[in-house]
Amino acid sequence: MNWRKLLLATMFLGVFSAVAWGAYQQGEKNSLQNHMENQYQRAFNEMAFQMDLLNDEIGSTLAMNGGRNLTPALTEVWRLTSMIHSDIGQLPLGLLPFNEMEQFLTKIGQFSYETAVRDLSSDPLTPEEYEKLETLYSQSQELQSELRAVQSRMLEENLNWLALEDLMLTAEEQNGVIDGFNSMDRAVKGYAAETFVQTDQQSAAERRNQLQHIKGNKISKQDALKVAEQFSGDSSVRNGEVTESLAGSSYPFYTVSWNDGEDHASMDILKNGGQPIFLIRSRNPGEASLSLNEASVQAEKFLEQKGYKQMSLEESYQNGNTASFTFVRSLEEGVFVLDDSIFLKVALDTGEVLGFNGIDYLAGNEDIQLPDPELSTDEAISLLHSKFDVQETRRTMIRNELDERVLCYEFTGLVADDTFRVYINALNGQEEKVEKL
Amino acid sequence: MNGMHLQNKIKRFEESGIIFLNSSPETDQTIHKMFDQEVNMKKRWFAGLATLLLCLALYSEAEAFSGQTIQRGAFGDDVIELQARLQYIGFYKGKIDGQFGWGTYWALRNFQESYGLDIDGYAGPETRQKLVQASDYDEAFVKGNIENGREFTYYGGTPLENQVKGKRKSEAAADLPSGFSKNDIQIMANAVYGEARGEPYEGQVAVAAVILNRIEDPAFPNTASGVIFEPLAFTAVADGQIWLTPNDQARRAVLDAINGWDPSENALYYFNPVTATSKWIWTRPQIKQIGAHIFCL
Repeated sequence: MNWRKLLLATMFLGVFSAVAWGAYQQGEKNSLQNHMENQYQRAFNEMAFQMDLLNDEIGSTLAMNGGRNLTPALTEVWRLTSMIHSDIGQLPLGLLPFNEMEQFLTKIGQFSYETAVRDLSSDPLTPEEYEKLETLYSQSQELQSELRAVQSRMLEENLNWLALEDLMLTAEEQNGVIDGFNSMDRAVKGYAAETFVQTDQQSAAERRNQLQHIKGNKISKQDALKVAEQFSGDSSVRNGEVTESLAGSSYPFYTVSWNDGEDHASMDILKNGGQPIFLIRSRNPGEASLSLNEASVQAEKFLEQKGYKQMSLEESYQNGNTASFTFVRSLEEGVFVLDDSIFLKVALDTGEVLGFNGIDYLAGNEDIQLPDPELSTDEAISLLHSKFDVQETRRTMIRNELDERVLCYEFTGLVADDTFRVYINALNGQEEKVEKL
Repeated sequence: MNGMHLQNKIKRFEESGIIFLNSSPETDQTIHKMFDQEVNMKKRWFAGLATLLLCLALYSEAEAFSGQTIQRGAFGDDVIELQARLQYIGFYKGKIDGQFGWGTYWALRNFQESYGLDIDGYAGPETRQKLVQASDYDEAFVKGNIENGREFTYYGGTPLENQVKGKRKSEAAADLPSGFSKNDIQIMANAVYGEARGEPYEGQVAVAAVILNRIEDPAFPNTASGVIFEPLAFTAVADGQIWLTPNDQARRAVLDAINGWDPSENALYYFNPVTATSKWIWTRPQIKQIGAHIFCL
């Protein structure tokens, strides 16, 4: 009967090791979950704490009367908003409408930054700005108390973020904490609207509206196919597919996509007017046989054929077997309009245009009234840093921080071994932009 | 006056190492005569030599460079040779890496300026010919060092063995669009591959564009990794698919998005209508559908 004992022993051993393994896995899983939960908790509680600090800090700026203390206090407000922002980024709020909160924080941050970097002793806060600070103070106070309420509910009910995460994913069940976040976000939406006027709109929001101003005859799906065929020079477009943009787009467009052999191509065309927005092909070109220079000639020819006049090659670079080119609009007066750019991608094996991106050109292409410069080139050079060694000079139109077109002298040159580009406003001599190349 | 002239001549020849003469003012007369003959002879000889050299140079010009005009942004063997030659005669002080960047551009312009060429920053036929005449190119040395990843320089007049400095530390990827590091692009390619590997190409570019739109939007983190690893933002991050090795197409899609293509037309979110579990996502204004994904604001 020895084999029975043996069998029993093996079975016992088997069951024991299975149980042990299970317990070990369970332990591992729990410790991982704890680890995750702790990270969420830290981010959340830190955020709540920093919200307190933010409220205090905004409050103390109200009591201050001079530049000397105000500047560090406003800088602190700026720093706190970015800390809170980063904490929010670490919480599983991705699918929760918490955007308004983040946008509001960004706006507070921007406002405090702009006022902090200003020389407040010679240029103190205006009454409007002071008023803005006062509203911000009361708003942050409300936010703080709401956040505190959510926090205490979480602590009381011993809720954990991992469970919340699941709830948020489905958003089927109503939950006190999620409701708390929702109501916070709704409140903030109102704040942002009442405190910040429309003029400090965000660049992303503006970008969405950039093609709205284009008016033109509405084209049909058939027209879109024709445009795509003409533009790409592919006869296989005829077998392609046209879809319309959905209701949420701020400008209506058609998407034409087609297969060209093994490769796939897609093109978006404006419904109003039928201008191509972009063309993109999936082909990965083979061994390069053209040089960058030869490809740039092809690119120039392409643009001319498609009726893009007055474009001049601004930037080119080679990446493996493709070449990329940026063209900018050049006015007859010898001024380069850097925002009205077209980007082209050319295959270095056949010279075929693999991609066209004309969205910036479409957004900006308008008649430009050139102002007369108030400064001469030499006067502008005298405003540059003494260690900046100017190599190239030209006149350009760029968009400044306020999103206005400004005429500038563009200086490309060296500081030690690094190349920089400096834009000096040709009307008032302001340094509009400095880029390291 | 004549003596002075002759002294200079002798000095020049001494410097150039062609003849050595110990001259003193007393021997001036004799030397003068001797020398004029010699100079005439040398002139003819030099003319012959110059023609020969020119022919050689033209021949080696055909050998050197591939005969293409090289411009800023180019990459490859021609650029390596251009940089090496410019460094040989002291115009280029940067790294010889085959990337025609700003450093090479200024070096080329300075070369064109001091050799009386049109200053345009393009290495056209005339510029290349002048450059080949003025410099020397040891292809085996330069290419060998690049292939072995060694740090080196290539200045004329310094022994080559003194110009190799051992292993290069890290490869800086200069062929990337500005503002993003090689690692950022890698992370984005991972995300695109994990999220949209079965999608049409423009759908992959659109996913990359959504990441970039989020980086720009104030409601989201400001870095590529911040956006991608934001909890619950991407399903591929949540289920670990982001750690699959991306293919080349995903990488190209990311580069296209960085270069400005946005097939999503400024979307901030996208979802798969078949598998989406969140009700909230359906409330976002929808822009367009590419493949299985609906892109929305």
